[in-house]
Amino acid sequence: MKCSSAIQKIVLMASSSSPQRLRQWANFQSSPKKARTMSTQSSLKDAFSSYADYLNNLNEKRERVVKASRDITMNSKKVIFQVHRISKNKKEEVLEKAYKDLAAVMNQYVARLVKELKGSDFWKLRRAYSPGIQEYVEAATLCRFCKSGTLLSLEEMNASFSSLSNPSQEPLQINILDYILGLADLTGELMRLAIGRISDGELQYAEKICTFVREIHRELTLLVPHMDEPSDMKTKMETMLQSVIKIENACFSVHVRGSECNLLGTDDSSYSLMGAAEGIDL
Amino acid sequence: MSSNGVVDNTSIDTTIFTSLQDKIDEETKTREELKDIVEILTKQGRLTQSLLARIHNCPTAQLQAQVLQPTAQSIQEQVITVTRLGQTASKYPFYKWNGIWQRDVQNLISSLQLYVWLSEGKLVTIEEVGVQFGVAVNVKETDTFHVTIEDYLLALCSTIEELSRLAPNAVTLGDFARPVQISRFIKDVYAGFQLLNLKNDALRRRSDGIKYAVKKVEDVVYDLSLRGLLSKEET
Repeated sequence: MKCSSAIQKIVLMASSSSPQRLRQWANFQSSPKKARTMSTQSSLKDAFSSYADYLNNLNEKRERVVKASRDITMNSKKVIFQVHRISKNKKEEVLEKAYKDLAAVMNQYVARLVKELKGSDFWKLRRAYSPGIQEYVEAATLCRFCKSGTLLSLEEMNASFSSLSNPSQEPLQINILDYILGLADLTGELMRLAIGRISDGELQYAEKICTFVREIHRELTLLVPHMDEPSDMKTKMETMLQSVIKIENACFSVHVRGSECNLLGTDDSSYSLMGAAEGIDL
Repeated sequence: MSSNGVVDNTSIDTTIFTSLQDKIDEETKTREELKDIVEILTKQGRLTQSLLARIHNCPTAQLQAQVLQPTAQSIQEQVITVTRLGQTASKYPFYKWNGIWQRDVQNLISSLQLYVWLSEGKLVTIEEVGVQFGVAVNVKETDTFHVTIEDYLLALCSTIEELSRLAPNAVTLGDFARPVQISRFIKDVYAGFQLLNLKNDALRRRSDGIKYAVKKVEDVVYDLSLRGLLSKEET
């Protein structure tokens, strides 16, 4: 009985809120009962054929997007490797090549991805291409840090994509989550870079990295609790903190040992400072 | 900057993070706005489904009065909510948020499919679903709220399951014709699903269940025909 009174209430509400829809509904209800004929059977088949086309097209497109994403990942990784080839005396040259490769990733592979995506695809196929975008964020932010010591912002990255699609279309916009996950991976790369710099005797550079990474971690600690899908993020934050600690420890060791041997700042310190990176799991 | 640890920490432009924070806050607001509407839809959906569940103990003769009429009202209430949801959600990218309402919209589509089959013996098309909901269907070019083909097909899987449950229950209530009708219908739908090239996703897993529904209903029909309980017309 409780139930029927609830229905009555709904009927009342329904009739007051949308008379037009009610009429439409009434027409729909009173349409004559159709016998099941061959035509309904074949129309059902037609309908499913069109669903099949839709699903085929979607799957093919998703495959192409996944492929484009993989290419972006692969080539962004190459850029990152290139950055790690930095040495004390060959900074400009190495970075220049890295930037050239990065531009190639953008113009070749990101462009191909953008060509596939239009309208609602950006969100519909996001899972298919976000690994590539995250890797690209990582590569681009790493290049920027090495060049000018600053953090490449989401807005700047988005702006750089606008040239890829024609102005009438919606440009590719990096999702906030992808940007933040990219930053999280960046700290791992910076940790490697810091250890490498220490081995090369560039302690100042390593300390600059240390401050930078520590700042990113600190800022993200404030952001992450507000995010909607923090599942990936939690483990990444842990890893990020580990990276910070590794750089800190390396900087610490080099200070202690450096002051013992009085090698800090001298040119041929690389051999003894190698020890500073000992026990640090790359 | 010097090597003794005094390093200036202004190398990061902190507005980068405040701007990220603003964006995240905005997303949270949108999510709340949409969730509020979806919550209503969920509540109404529960009523619709509880009403439709009565088909399993309602004799076919009384179906119209006892089940279909009240269900129509309840579905209509949900439709009003969906229309409202559509108006609000169309302000935002569809696929960014559709996870919030997907399940409830699928349940509603399934209720409508079941309702229409019970009253007219036919499968409501996705276009008719769109007309009833007052929203677009299968939109490709523009980014607006719509019913997707995936939603429609997933809903159909639930509908088939419900009908396969109805077949034996109808017999219990003395309606021997019902299982035959159901059997024909879900065989048609099953044939339709076989036209689809599914990859290993939710739709594939759900539609895998249809063959068991077909078998279940076939068994009921077999039992009836074995005992001569079906009229000639029905077989």
